Amino acid sequence: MAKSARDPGRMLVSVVMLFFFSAFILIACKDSPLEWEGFALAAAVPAMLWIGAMVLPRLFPADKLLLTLTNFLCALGVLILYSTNHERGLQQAVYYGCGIPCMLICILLVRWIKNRWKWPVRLLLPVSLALLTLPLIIGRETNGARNWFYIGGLSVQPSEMVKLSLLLILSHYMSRRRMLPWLFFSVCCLGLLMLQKDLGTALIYYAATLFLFYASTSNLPLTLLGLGGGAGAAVLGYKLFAHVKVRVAVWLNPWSDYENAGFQIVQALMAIASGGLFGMGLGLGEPRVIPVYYTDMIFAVICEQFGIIFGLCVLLIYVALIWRGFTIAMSARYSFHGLLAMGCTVVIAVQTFVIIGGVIKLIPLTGVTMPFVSYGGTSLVSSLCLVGLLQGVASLNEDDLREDARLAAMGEEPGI
Amino acid sequence: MPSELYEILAQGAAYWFAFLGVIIVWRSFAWLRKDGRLRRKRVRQLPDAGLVGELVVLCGSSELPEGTLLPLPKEGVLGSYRGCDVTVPCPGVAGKHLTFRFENGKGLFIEPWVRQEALVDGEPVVHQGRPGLMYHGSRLQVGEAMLRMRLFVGVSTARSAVVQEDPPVQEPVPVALPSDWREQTLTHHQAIRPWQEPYGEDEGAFREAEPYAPYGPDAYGEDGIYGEEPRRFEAPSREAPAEAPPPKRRLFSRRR
Repeated sequence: MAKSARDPGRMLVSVVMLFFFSAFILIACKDSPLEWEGFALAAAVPAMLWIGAMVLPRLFPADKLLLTLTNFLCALGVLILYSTNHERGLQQAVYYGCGIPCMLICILLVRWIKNRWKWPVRLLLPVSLALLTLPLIIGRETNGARNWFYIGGLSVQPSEMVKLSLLLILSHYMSRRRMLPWLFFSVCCLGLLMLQKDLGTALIYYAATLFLFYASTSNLPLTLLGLGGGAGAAVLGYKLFAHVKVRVAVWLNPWSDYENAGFQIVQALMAIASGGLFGMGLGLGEPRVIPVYYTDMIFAVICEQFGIIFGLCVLLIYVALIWRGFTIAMSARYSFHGLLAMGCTVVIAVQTFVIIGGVIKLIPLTGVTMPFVSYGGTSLVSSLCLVGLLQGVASLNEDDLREDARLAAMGEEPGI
Repeated sequence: MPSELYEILAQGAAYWFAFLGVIIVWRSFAWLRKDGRLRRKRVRQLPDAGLVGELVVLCGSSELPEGTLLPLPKEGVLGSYRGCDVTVPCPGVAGKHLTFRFENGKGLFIEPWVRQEALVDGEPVVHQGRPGLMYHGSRLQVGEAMLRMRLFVGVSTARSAVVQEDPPVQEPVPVALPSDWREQTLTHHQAIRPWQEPYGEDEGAFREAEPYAPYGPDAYGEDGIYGEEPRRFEAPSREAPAEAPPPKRRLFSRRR
């Protein structure tokens, strides 16, 4: 009893486990005959959460709270997808299982390489640009954007992977005060994303670059200039791309063309409204009516099934995760680690804001995934890798604190 | 399960899930708050956390009197702007004058900003040139300011530095300086204790005689060397320096 009072994580992890156990049991009872997969998930997901939040931090240096919140969001994605489409749910669980080792690799990579990123970054720069060029050569256009390519039946979105290298490259060169390499890389990435018409990802890249620039230089005039440049590019995009005009028009008044262009946003709003405060119930409602409900519109499905109160809770969990990320960034001792943690946090924050803001009609809708929750292997694995980088910085911070305590103890000895 | 029964169950469970969601959020923020309190407590206990040493002002300005101790983080920017990690408001020091980066076991690497230069132990260091390397006791000249770097115990040497028996404490006694003491400068940190002769044989013997003095600006000579007899630098003409502020009180003292 005393131990649980001391450890703030134990109760949180227990409540999260209880949540998923009851939810998967409920969804398994929906169909007749009863679905054994649902019962298996009811046992496996809480077990994974326990291992992830309580056992892994003993083996790997990791931040427990960050791990718990990330696992909660990932498991929520599996639950929602399983409740709407069993196959997708199981596939997402597999992606989740693949993402955890990737996250651990990222933790170890940050701890192992520490500040010696010069050659890895030099290697990453051309490889990332080549990866980002691939969809333009061998990719196929999906939903108006040419940001995917296919290898052996497996679809890959390189912009999700390049996101990680963007952060590493920006953090490295900005911490070394070398402006030209990161500026070149950012401009190339943004140009390639514009050519792919992947404006949502371009927005995330741009926001991360601008934020990191301000964080590393504190140069407000240049940051404002960059912000103005971004606004100018947005206006240019509005003038050049027809689908941007349509999205803005739909954002302003989705009911003007609710059967065609505005159908998705109207259905999302109706789903949120029909959910009410407490939701229609897990597995109930009509989420499949919403186009791409499993990726872009998954927040509407959460609100429909669990209600607006739970939707707000999910938002607050993102806020807690972002808060934690900023705390880790502010505690970093080296500017590279601080910028890296800041970049990871900003990417998660901007992506969450862009997609949830789009779903609730706060801003025009852009095609990005909801971090950790939306269906998609590349997105989930890259989000978990972001958390891995963040965890790596957090563990280095812990090492530094321990070192400080050791040095302070040396300084306390008599005669020094 | 019949669909009617499932609907009733699912609608009832919606309240349960909302309740659990609120608990999860509440516990998460409670955890964040608790960690924040813990971190603040640690910072209070370790005021030197994140610092590797300090820069002693040997020659400053009216805004930066001699003897001032500037905390030295592991990495950052030195300049006259208030936002810099180490602020040196002296004539000739640019807003952002140079960047520095400490590598344990090596020293402090100095890279001047564009069109800026600095002197490390009398050697000029320029932008895009070979970075300057400072050791414990090295002198840095930026503009009209002159600073001496002092590292904390256990920082610059290997982390496995052996803690030795402390020598008996004795009252400081006046000592005769060696004839060439002006020429001697600290160029390399050889040991973590002052009695381990970091300054060569002659001065080592000199330092043996006066191992302790109170901490703070009063404990150092004008060049910032611990226990050394005060001496005056030939600094450019400037106003008379104001009295040095008292040192910041710390719970731990990690100074050498």
